[in-house]
Amino acid sequence: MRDGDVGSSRLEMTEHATCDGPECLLGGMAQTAADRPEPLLRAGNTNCGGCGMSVALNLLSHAIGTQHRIQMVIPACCGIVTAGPYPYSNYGAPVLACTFASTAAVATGLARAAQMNGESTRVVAWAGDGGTYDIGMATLSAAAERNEDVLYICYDNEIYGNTGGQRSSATPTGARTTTTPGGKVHHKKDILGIMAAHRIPLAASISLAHPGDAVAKMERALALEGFRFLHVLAPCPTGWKSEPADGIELIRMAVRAGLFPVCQVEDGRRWTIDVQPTFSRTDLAQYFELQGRFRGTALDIEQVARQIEEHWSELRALAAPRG
Amino acid sequence: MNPAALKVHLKDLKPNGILIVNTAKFRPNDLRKAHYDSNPLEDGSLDGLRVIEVDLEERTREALADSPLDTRAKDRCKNMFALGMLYWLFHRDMQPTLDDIRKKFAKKSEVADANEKVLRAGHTYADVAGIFQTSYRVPPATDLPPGRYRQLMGNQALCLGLVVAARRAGVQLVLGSYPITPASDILHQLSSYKHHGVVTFQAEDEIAAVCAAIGASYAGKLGVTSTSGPGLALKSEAIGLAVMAELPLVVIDVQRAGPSTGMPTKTEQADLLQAMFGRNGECPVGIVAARTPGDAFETAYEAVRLAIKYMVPVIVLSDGYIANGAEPWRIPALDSLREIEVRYAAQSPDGAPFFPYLRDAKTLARPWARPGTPGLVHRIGGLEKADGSGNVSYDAKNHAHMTRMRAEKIARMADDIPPARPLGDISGDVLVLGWGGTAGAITAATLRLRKAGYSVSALSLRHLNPFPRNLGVLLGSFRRVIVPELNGGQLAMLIRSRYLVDARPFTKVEGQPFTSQELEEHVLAALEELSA
Repeated sequence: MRDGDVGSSRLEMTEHATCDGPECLLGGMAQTAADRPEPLLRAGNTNCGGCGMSVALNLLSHAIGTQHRIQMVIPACCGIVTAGPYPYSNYGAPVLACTFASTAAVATGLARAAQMNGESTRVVAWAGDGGTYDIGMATLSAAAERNEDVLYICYDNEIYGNTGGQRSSATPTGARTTTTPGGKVHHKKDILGIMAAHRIPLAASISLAHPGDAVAKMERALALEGFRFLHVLAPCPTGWKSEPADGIELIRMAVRAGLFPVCQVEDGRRWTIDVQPTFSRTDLAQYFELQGRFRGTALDIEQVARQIEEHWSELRALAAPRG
Repeated sequence: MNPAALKVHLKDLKPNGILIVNTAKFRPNDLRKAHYDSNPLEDGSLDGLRVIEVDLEERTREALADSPLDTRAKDRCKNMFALGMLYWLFHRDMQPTLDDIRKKFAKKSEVADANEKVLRAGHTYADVAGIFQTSYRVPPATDLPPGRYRQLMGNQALCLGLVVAARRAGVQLVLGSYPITPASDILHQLSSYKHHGVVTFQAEDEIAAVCAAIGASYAGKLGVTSTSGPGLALKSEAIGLAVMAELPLVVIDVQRAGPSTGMPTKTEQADLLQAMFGRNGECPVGIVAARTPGDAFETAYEAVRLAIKYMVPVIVLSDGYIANGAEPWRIPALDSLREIEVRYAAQSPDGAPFFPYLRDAKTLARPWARPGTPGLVHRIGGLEKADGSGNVSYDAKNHAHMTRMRAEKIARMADDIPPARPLGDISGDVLVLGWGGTAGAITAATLRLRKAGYSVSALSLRHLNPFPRNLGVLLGSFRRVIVPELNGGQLAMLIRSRYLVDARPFTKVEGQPFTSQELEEHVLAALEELSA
């Protein structure tokens, strides 16, 4: 698939987004009654403008449609702030707020209970990069190893957005955070590689700039059994110091430049590249320029470009058809 | 004040207090949202208060008639109108706020202009509209000792206390921390003190954070970790390790309303029993509490001193309001701070084997042995060790002895800390006993009651484990001991069990601090009961 031919038109290939008429808003990307009687993310929430997590929730809402009943588990992160103080909630689904490190463990409990009761409930764990890459890694790894019937979605804004903007192990090299004032020196963790190494049925990355691909993968992930992991790069205007309206465009640039590979891994072995980058240097440069967090740090674009090249030669080898 | 704010804060006003009301926000719909059945401005429920009615929206828009901003942006300036009125009411110089506006909106000059204009308009309005019958002058504070002062927030003071203590001790400070509200600023701030030899490490979770600090202490540096209540719970096992290994460790808990996630931005003092008992086994640690933002400096300093001298973990209890509250803080003279003794173990000149648990006769502290020092081969860890040799031991008598030693080290600190000095007299009708962040309200209430001639004294504890030596005698010298706490009565429980004193808890768990007024009323009621 080429980068140019994805977008709203691709969405029509997915099953329940083929609505037309007045309900079909924004080429099917806006939430309508045709998707779910109630959107997963309700209107009037207090999330920041340009919040990538919110876009991801809306895509998930599409994917859930009317086919699934879901229960969500969310640890400390912006996503649980979205749930709001009692008695208000911005989620149109049951949400269990759990302790920071326990997302995958709590999801395990819910999934096992659903199994015992013979319910078809799909359990969705929804956590940020801090709760996934860092404090939640042990329970995440253990649940993946047990192949629990859980869909784990990490919305990765590359920063601790909820406690004052500290670095996480998902923060990319060169990004300024409150605890890396001169720019982070360490690499971003390869979460997809880590999860693929657990040989789970599906580990995939999702681009918010490619909603057709995103919804299709979410639908598939919801339907599959066993542990599924989705990684969403979620723009955060507050943490990235970028314009709220630029979020989706930033993701598109990251995908084009090859910085954020959009791919999937089945059973830890079969790698498929879903969106081919153009490796555009202009996109790469612009991606960094449009974000204040990279300004004035020791970011070396040449080095990033070399790393992208290396990463992609590995990815291509993994995705090559086997004899 | 809009109706919702009025509902929440009306109880804070004294009779005849001044209430400034934004009439633009008292339309029927606004009243309904705040669940008012009738308009409080009209139904007499504000009788006895000096109500000043101002249509802030209208006045602000008037002042900004020429501004290029849209109406919504103009309306956002209305707080400046109210602030301008207050500047007039209290005869304060507006310059700091004017400078602040310029700084904050440096890149948006039209917003800065609008805010400045509205601030001045509010000031002029208060001056010429004749809405206030009187104005006030708050004279400069005269009861503060002379010296050089600076404005300081609690978390900042705490960081300075740690850095100064580490520098004074000549030991490098290593902070392992995991971000959590309201303690995160400590991590941010200490990471900017690299030039003072401070090493900070943002860990992947609370356990890694405290364990990194323990690792640093094992290596002969000062290990510090900062967190809030839920994080302290996660660190419990590791703190037990530091108790067992007898290593210095400073654990900062900036308390917030709990349990669990609770109310991260609201204050509470409900971690005292967690700090005291929240570990497996008999596992005592030193506990100190900061009483005001500035006091956090000395409290942190004291924690470092005790941790190093006694080779024990010390927990520093602060809270959300101390952390983010600010006060003028007098920069102390260095020689007013107590000496911090550091004694690293050295190889015995005669080549005798090293005993990791060979204790100091006075403090019972074991020697601090840096790994890799020739001749200091030894073993420490979580397993019970034989006193002296440090060999793993399951011996019954040794376990009883070591358990006693660990408790005795903490108990002996009581000889090393200042005795409790109450505000007021050392005996009388009522002693108001508090700890930590309630100090301000307790002091204010007590001073007012004493001025009115009542026999009331107050004591705000910094040292909570051990307590000051003279505390028991003091408690016994009052007819009634009242313990105000922002929890379910935790200090009261400790006091009652330790001293067999009928201490009466006065508790509040609303995420809000005590007001001096509610304390005053409570103590007055007790005084009446006593005199009846």
